[in-house]
Amino acid sequence: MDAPNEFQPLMDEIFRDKVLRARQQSPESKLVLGLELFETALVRMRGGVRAQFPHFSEEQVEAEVYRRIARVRQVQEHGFYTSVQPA
Amino acid sequence: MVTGGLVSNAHGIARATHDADVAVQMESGGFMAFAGSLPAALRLDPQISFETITGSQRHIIELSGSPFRIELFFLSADAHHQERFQRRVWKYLPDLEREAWIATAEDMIIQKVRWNRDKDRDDARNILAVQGDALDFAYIERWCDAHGTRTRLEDLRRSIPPI
Repeated sequence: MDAPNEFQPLMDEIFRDKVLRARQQSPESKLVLGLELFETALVRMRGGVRAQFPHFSEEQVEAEVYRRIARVRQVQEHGFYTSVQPA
Repeated sequence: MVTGGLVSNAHGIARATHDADVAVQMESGGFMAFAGSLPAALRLDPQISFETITGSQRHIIELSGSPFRIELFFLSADAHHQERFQRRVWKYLPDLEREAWIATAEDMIIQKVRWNRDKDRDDARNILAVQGDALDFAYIERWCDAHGTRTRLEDLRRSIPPI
């Protein structure tokens, strides 16, 4: 955790609000919400790629989204898994 | 048993998750039959990987037309993984019209504190804050002591503002 700073009270208030809202939601609905948020993130990522590369075809946009997600996974998993090729 | 980000969401604060982690108890012969029975929209990645902390064997299933994927973890001999699997709970998921075993909030915290990546610490802190006094802290502390992660747990608890 970072040392408290001038924004800490605001950060705490935002966190408190998130926690209180989460307590109002059922576990089952929050589980599914994670999938819906990913779908929303995909839409936004596609929009970002189109804005950055307006000449891209839809196939190229999709390929770039896949590449970026793969990169995120690579960073998150770095040093966390060892891979073996099947015999 | 469903675990990972989806179940962290269920017990804590929902965030986008790009995979579904599932812990499975299966013989190798059974797994080959399972892999052979997958529908065409699901593709089993032939590459196998091992999680470095517990040695859990991971297989990845890719979904056709989506970057979302399913990660299957064979139940390992790790003592906490064994107990976590025994403590799993059966849930009906009305939005999916499915029933599933899911890991408990306590076991998610223990696992996340043990993995200790940025997103794991966030997930563990969120579950601690949302579940509050409903958690079995004696159980969590016992496993964090066994894993040598008690200091991490206490740091997370101290970081939570009064709710």
